[in-house]
Order: sequence, then C-alpha cells, then structure tokens
Amino acid sequence: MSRRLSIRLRDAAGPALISAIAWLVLAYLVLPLVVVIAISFTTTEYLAFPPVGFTLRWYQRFLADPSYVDAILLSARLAFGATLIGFLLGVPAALVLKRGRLPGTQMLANFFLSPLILPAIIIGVGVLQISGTLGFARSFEAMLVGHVVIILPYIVRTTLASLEGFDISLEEAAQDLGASGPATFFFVTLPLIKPGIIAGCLFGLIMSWIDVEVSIFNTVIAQSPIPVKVFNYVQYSVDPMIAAVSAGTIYIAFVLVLLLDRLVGLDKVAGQQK
Amino acid sequence: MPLITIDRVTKSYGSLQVLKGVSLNIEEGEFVALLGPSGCGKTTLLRAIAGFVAIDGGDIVIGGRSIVDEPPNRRPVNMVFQNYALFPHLTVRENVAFGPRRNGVSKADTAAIVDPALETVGMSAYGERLPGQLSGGQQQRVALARAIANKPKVLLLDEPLGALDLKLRKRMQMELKDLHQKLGITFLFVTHDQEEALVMADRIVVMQDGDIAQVGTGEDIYARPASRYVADFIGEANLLPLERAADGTLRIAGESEPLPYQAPDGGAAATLLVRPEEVRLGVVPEGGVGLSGTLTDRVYIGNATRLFVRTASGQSVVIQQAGAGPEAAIPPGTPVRIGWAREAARVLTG
Amino acid sequence: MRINRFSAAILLGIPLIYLIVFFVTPLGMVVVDSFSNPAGELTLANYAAVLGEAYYWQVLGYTLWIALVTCVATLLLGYPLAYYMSLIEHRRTVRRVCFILILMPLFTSNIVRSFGWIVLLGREGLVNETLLLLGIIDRPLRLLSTEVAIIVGMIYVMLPFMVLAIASVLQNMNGSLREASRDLGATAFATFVKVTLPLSAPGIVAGTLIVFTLSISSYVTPRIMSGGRSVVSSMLIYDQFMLVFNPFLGSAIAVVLLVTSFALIVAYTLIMERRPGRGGAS
Repeated sequence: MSRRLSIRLRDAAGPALISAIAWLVLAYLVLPLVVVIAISFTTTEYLAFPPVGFTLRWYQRFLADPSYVDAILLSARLAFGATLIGFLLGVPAALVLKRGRLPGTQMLANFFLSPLILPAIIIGVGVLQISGTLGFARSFEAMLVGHVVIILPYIVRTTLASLEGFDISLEEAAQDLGASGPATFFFVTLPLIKPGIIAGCLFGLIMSWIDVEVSIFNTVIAQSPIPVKVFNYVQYSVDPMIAAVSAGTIYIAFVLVLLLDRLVGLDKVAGQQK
Repeated sequence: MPLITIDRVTKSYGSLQVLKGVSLNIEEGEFVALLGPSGCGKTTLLRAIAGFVAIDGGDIVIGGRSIVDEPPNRRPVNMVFQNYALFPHLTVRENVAFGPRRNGVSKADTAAIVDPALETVGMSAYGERLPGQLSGGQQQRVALARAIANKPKVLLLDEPLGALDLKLRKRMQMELKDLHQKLGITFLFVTHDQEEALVMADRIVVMQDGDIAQVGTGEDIYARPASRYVADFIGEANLLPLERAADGTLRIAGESEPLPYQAPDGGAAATLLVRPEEVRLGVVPEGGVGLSGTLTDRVYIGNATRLFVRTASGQSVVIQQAGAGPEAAIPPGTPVRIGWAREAARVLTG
Repeated sequence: MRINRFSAAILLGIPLIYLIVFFVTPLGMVVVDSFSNPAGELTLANYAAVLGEAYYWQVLGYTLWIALVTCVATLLLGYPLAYYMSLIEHRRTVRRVCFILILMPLFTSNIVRSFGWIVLLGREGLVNETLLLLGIIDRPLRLLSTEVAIIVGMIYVMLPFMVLAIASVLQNMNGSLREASRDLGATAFATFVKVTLPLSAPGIVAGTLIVFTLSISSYVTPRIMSGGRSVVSSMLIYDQFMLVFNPFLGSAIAVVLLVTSFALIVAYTLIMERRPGRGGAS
C-alpha cells in the first residue's frame, strides 16, 4: 500500500516539477511585458511598479506627439513595404527552387536562407555602404532594402516548407481534369500552400516591425522607425510615456500572434521557427 | 478501329528501361486491366496515357488522334488516382465541379453535371463535406465522380481499390463493374491483384518487365497461360521443372517416367503447369500422369481442403479438393499416389 | 506544375540579383573596407590595430563569453518548457497559451523588452524589492549596468528561440517511443535520459546554434543593459561607423567577429555531427 503510494508519488513528482519549472519560465517570459504595460498606466511622473492609480494620460500624450505617430506610421510603411517586396521576390524563388528542376537548387536555397545566420548589425552596415555608393544612404529606401534582406529568408523558408509536404498528385489531378498550368497553380497549389506563405509573411512583417539593428545604421533622427526612436530615447531617460509607446507595440504584437494563430495555427509556426 | 492504339511505346529512366516497346489496342467500351507486380511498367504506361510521363518512342492514339504531344489537361482521358488526390481545400461538390469549370462549362450547367455524377456514385448527401471528413470508401466514390464528370473517352484507374479493406474492396469491384456498364465508356485499370483483374476486366494485359507477357480474357489467361511467369502470377499453380531425356521425351526433373507431352520447339527450358484443383489423390486417370509421394500437410480452408504432397523426387505439389473430403482422415506422413488427366496439365516455356 | 526554363530563370533571377546587389555586394564592400584606409589604398593596418590591441581581444572574448552563458542558460531554462509542452499535447488550450506567451516577447522589439528589465532591475525595481522583502539582502543591489543585467536581458531575448527550436523536435517525436521505453521497464527518468533527450538532440543543436549566432551579434540588449558602455563587439562596430566615423576599422572588427563566429559554428556543427548515435537530421 505505502509502496504503491510512493511509486505513484514518484511518478507524479517528475511531471509536477517540470510543469512548475515550465510555468516559472513562462512567467519570466511575460513579466517584463506585464511590467511595461502596467507602468504605462501609472499616474506618477516617474516609472512606478506596481503602478500608482490608473490614467491614460501617457497614451494621450504619445498619440498627441506627431513624432511618435510618424515613427509608427514609418515603421508600418516599412514593414508592409518590405513584406510585399519579400513576398514578390520570395514566393516565386521558393517555387522555382522546389519545382524548377534546376541544378544546384539546394545550394541556392541555402543562399536564400543565409541572411538569417549573418549578424543583423553587419547587414545594417553593409546596406549603409551600398546605399551610400548608389546614392540613397540613410533614407526610407535604404531601410526598406535592408529589411527585405532580413525578412526574405522567412518567406522563402516557410514557402519551401509548405511545398515540401505537397502531394504532387493533386496537381496532376488538376491537370488531368483540364486545368492549364496557371489554373493549376491558382486553383490548387496556391490555396494549399497559402498558410505557409501567410506564416512567412507575418513573420517577416514582425521582424521588420521590431528591427533596430538594420534601421539604426540607415536612418536619420528626424525619420526613425518606432523601435529606433524608443531605443534612442531609452538610452538617455525613461518615463511613463515611453512605457505607453512600448506598451502600444506590445498590443500590436499580441494582435499579430492572435492573427497568426487564427490564420495558420501556432503549432505550425513554431515548427518553422528559425 | 480501336479507340486506343498504343504503338511500340518505350520509356527509360536513365539506364532502366521501364517500357520496352509496348503495343496494345483497346476497343471502345472495353474494361481492360493492366496486371503485374510492382515495377513491371503498368503504372508508367497508364501515366503515359494520362500525360504525366513523356514517352521516349512510339505513339499513343486515342480516337484517331495522336495525343503524345498534348498536355494532360487536353487529353480526352481522366484518371482516378491511387490516393484519390482529392483537393483537400475544396468540398466534394467543388471537387467534382473542378473539371467541368476548367473546361469552360458555366456555373449553372456545371450543377447539371455534378448532381448526376454524385448520384451515380451514391454521394449526393455529402456534397458540402470536405474530403478530410470522408471515409476511404467515400473518398474513392468522390474520386470516381470527379473523374467521370468530364465525360472522358477513357477512364484510367491507378490501383483505385488498393487502400480499401478487403470487404469494401470486394463491394467496390462490383460497383465499378456496374458503373462501367452504366457509363459505357472505356475503363483502363491498373492492379497488381490478379483476383481483382479476373473479377472486373473483360480483358487482362499481363505485364512483365516493361513488356506485355500475355493479353486475353480471364479464362484465356488462367486456363492457357502463355508462359511460366503468367501461370505463376494468375491463380495457384503447381509448376514442375521439366527435363528432356536422351530419347527426346519430357520428364519431371528427378522422375524417370516419360510424360505424354510434346517438348516445346527449340531447346528452351520447360515447366509443367498443373492447377491444384486438377490433381487427384490416389487416382491416376487413364492416359494421365501419376507420381508417388508423401502427404506432408493438410489445411482446411472452409470451402476446400489443401493437401501438400512431397514427391519421391522432392517436388512439392499442392492439391485442392472441394469441401473436407474423405482424405481428411489420412494422417500426414502417409505415402500417397497422385495423378492428373493428360489434358489437365500444360507444358510452358520458361 | 511545371515551370519552363525561361520563366524559371526570371522568377529566380530577380530575387537572386536582389540578394547579390543588397546582400552579397554590401558584405563584399565591408570586407574590402576592412582592408582599406581613408585614402582608398589597400592596407592591413585595420587588422593590425584590431588584432594587435588587447582591448579588442577582451571585447571579443567578452562577446563570446556572454553568448556562451546565454546559450547554456537558455538551454537549461528552455528545455523544461519545451518538454512540458510536448507532455500537454492533448491539452490544446494550455498549449496555445504557452505558444502565445512564448511568441509575445519574440514579436516585441528587443528595445521594449530590455526596457521592461530596466524597470525590474532598478534600485527600487521588483527584483530588489523582492530580495529585500525576503531578507536575502539588506540594501538594494546595483543591478543595472552590470554583467548580471546584460546576461538576464540576453537570456530573456534569446529564450523563445531556444524553446521553439526544441519544441518543434519534441512535438514531432513519436509518443509511442516513450511508451515503449516505459513498457520495457525504464523509469520515467531513465526514459527521459535514454530516449527523449538523445532524440531531441537535433533541436538542442539547432537551438544553441541560433542563440549563439544571434547573441554574438546582439547590439540593442547589451547597449541598453550595460548602461551605454561598449562591452561587446557589435557596439564597437556601431561606434566606429556612427560615432568615430571610421568605417574601415569598424569593418575590420565586423569581419573578425564574423570569421570567429563562423569558425566556432562550423567547429560546433562538426563535433555534433561526429557524435556517435546522434538522433536523426534536424
């Protein structure tokens, strides 16, 4: 009886311990975000955690400051622009890499993924150099060009991954039933690889949205994306308004996570993570 | 004129020749089975007709027109794929409507094609389901409906029953036969299951290593196989190796008794085929062949009994008798005499 | 779907040209710059400066040290979480919550995340307050602008990558393997050590590689957490380009960082591949 109980306890202890550690780690992961959100509501002039009272004053102040609104809009334009270009370049490239029956496609695929393993700061430096040479240094275009480089691998990889498990006989069936090449692509292939493409594009969008390293070399103070603006600010002072700005980006991240979950499913995204 | 003429079609993958000049005519409305083990080239031939395999040489003519240069979407054939290949993102109705829509049929007219097609396979109630929500048998029916919705001249079926369990497979065999009758179009069917071919096909094409070994009705092939390979592939067979004696007569290897059969022309190796149900225990019919041996085992399989005999020269012979039979009492190890009528056996090359 | 050669060349050619112009060429320019002086002559002076001075070696060593500590710590923290997520495969809602909690920081800028830690690690921050309350310390510790702050911040930023890399391997692992191990008499612990852990090796390798690569090039987190002192290589690179305006020396530091990290990654990959009885490809 007692032996049985002790075995039971031992078998339950392992999982219990693991889940305890797991939830502690999860708490560690959300704590700073919760802190930032909490202090954005404080009524004090300084950072207070736990917050004192509740006010939306800091949000009002940051939304009333055109330089922050501009920075957010700039970041959004940058992220959507880079994602659109990344989509237009990455999806066809992945299709050809998988289906083109060209020699050396494995090496080419690795080449398309290589910006992932290269330090972003070096990509930022490199873009500064080339844009200087080509005459558009430190501009929206320079940042756009750099962001496309860092997000392209995400789009190429998820598209490749969704083509990997693709059942070729579905395309054969479409052709057999009378669909031309383009019709097969648009009616059968594209709808089926869409989740992968969406996941890749959303990931790219986020990577551009949160980027500091590439932007910081290619921007001017007057025209900074929101992470760079926050970065420049936080280095010298911190106040509840910057907490409100930061909290705003956390809300956006939350919306994007939910969007990703709805459109693709988070399990799938995790499998294709970097 | 035949509906399909396959003329000396060849196909190689690297040094591997998968089709070695296959020629075959298929008449309109026939139900033809391409039968053979995996790797014999039967699926390659089917896919070459559908347009998924570009042939190296020869010609394929359907309805008087060569189709080898046509892409798959312009060929007057439709295929039921081995794994059905139903579009997982489309409902059953949308799957069936796919072909007509791609071929320029209006939305309104498509309904008039889809409904009867689903009706034909008994899937009318499932139109709004997705393929993932259907059982294997139901998916099979939808795949059939989708393939016939285009009103092809030829329906190609690539091992369509392979994924179904035995009971369902037997039922679908009969349903496919009915469907063939109802539609009146040509069915070309690939299978490795000889029983399936016998049950359904008007004509069976037995393939061997990229070539056609024999073409004929089920009865032709079962009763008069052209070679040892065909005999072995279709039904149960006792295949006894033959030797040529100095006087030119044939003997079963290791036996001394001359056989009442003609040796094949030339010096080709020969085999004697005797179907298990033709072999008698304890009786040697007049003018027939008799052998001595020992009963080694007995298996009762419900409607018949199988007796395993080892001859004095070491050959294994299987005897199949209807029902339990009086021989049920003979214990294994007993010396027995077996035999068959002269016309019950055939000499085959190979 | 077949793609003919002509359209294949165009569909692949344009992205390829893009990467050559905006990825390969810039890198080439950085390399060329690292061998140049302001007069445009080829020189090894930049490398002589970088490799000849103990300070640069210290910074490089510190960069690698931080990356190593981050790697080990994220592995120790991340594995239990990834393992836990594989245990709750059937509890979809809990799993989803886990994913959301892991992805949320990942989808938030490093700067915002580091900001949270500035608050937590401040003199009157939650960490000091808690330690005081528990009586572990009797006056607030100086945590900000210390090595502790840098490492805590780095672990925080890198942890999601490690968890996701390991979780993706564990979630694809055949659950009946664990059951077979238990069935054959192994305890839960032995099952973990003998079956689960070896089979999740590809995830561990992938995770440590990602975390290491990202850590050695990390800029924002060390900058914020160190209080502005230039302690890691990426900060030196930034300083040379943006403050000192010496892109030549900056490029040389970048190339040294790149070559070092590349060599370490290659060595690590080779060692892990040669490991006997490794479990499958990642």
